[in-house]
Amino acid sequence: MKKSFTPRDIKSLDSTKELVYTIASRFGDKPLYYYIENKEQKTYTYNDHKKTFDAFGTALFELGLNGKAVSLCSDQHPYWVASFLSVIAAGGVIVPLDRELMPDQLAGFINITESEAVILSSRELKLLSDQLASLATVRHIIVIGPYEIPEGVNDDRLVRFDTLVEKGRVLIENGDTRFLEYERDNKDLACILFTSGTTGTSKGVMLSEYNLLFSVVQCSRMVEIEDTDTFVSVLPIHHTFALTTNHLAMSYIGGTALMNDSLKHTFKNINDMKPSCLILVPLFLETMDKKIWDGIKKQDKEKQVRRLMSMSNGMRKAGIDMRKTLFAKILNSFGGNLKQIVVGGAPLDPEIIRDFDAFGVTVVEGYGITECCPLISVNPFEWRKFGSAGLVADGLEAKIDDPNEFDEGEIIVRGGNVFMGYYKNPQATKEAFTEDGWFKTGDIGKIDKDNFVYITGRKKNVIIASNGKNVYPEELEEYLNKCDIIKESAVIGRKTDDGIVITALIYPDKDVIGDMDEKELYEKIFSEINLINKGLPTFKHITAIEIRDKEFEKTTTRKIKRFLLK
Amino acid sequence: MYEEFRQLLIEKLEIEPDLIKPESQLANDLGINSLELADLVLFCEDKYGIEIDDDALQKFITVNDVVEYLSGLVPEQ
Repeated sequence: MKKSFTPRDIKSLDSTKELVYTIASRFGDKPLYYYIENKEQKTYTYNDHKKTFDAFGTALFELGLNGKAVSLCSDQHPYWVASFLSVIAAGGVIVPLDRELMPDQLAGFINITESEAVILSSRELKLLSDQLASLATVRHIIVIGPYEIPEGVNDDRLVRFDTLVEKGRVLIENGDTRFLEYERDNKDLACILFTSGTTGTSKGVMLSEYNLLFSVVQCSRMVEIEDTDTFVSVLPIHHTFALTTNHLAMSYIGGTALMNDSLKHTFKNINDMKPSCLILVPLFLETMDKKIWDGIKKQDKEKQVRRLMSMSNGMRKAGIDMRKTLFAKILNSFGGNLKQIVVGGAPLDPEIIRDFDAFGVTVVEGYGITECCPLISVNPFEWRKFGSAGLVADGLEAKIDDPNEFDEGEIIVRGGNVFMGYYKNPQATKEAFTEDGWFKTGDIGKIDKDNFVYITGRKKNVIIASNGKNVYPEELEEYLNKCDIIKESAVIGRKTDDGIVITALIYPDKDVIGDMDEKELYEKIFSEINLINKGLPTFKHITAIEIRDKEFEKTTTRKIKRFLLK
Repeated sequence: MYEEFRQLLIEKLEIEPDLIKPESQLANDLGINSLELADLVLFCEDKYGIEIDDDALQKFITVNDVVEYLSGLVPEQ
């Protein structure tokens, strides 16, 4: 029988307020999050979420921050989610920032968005302590979680998030309805997400409240999560994939998540929470798969397990599913309740999907892009096609622009989740869309007769790390070209058996290297690259270099011809 | 400390002993990803009764970086 998929009947949303109020009335005192603060696990219910949202939103009005830009950079915390939603509901523009940025980069983004407040946790406050004076437009520095003021910081703009929530609560009790009754235009700018590390090379993706909620509803309809599902949220919260799926869509469905407090504690937290569902990037699955097989090999049981997998797969074809019993030990190493992993952000080896499937965990692969908030396609739970990035999401149109003889070409999309344009960059915005308004994803692929997407290449320079994060060669080249010894550089993602290796192609400055021998030259360049790497998050580290003795071939505008790089 | 950490890499991550040198790069030469490193760091925390700052993780590029960091926290036997 031909398979088909009908998106779930889930109501669309017009505002963040509607989202928060709907879930509070439906799920009330049920835990939305468990989170760890000062080494203690705390509970945050759906009702707590509504109270925080209303109180913080009211405080924003009291501080004159309604309608203003507010930057947000902290570790995972329920207040991150509440403040994200409150700023939008108060008519403002929220600017979520990556915690792994360097202090000058963070300050750069806060300044170019003219943020009038920043919401930080103590770690980010410490990180930014030398930059605080440069934040000229910022009137309030709001601290989430434990209030630890770094030594030497004495800034009268500092205020605790808790203090503002209390203030908002009292105002509401006394009849303040400014926030409660406020309605914004949901097609206006509500959120800016930056695509890479430096203000020079990054583009700010502008999203409206409508874009965000369209995507939340889309995820809720396409990804089969239930109100009984439990999660451990491990991906960085400022990522649209994590934010839309693991936080906003999960809350719309009524799930409960433990917020992972550190990468170090990921497996411990998964064991403690015993989640039924995880939202991950390939890096995690690759590591989990390796851990499983390392354990099996250590016990010298590889042959036995492979035989069991084959028998179990055969039994499943006959309608008998014994995986929970046969692979209990493996499943128990991830808590024992795991039934589904939603994976996106980067391509995943289909072999890993098959392994998990054989053990009893369904891996659902999807594809998205920040500009689409991010969902473009996902494999339905009951209708997965191996090698495909999934079925085009509900409400989105996708097609191939100018297909070649193999029906391959650039994937272009149109729909409610497609962004408004790039912040203060009309030229890039113009280039991102076709003349008739389709967004050009920059990904090359094809779409089959059932509307499943297959990615076969990329048009843009971006390198996708296995943790799903984007590495922009231009950013790394900016750092490399500052080294005296380097005259020209180009960064590429070289595909190897171990995955993508970020490789710097270097044309050294012959005036600087003089009569240096090859070994000395390599060592000198490596030491410069080590210094660059120390200032970057691990996923951006340059791990290989290739030195060339000729300049790069360039276009008439002196840009390196990237398509010639191998 | 170098020898202890080397043993950990061999036993926990099954890294080929010949590949491990003080100057070996964790990601490039030994193929260790950030999650494996984080897991290893947690093991070291438990083993030595120390706490390793999350932000230190991204500064670990070579085997020697980790060994030096651990040596600074773990009192010599």
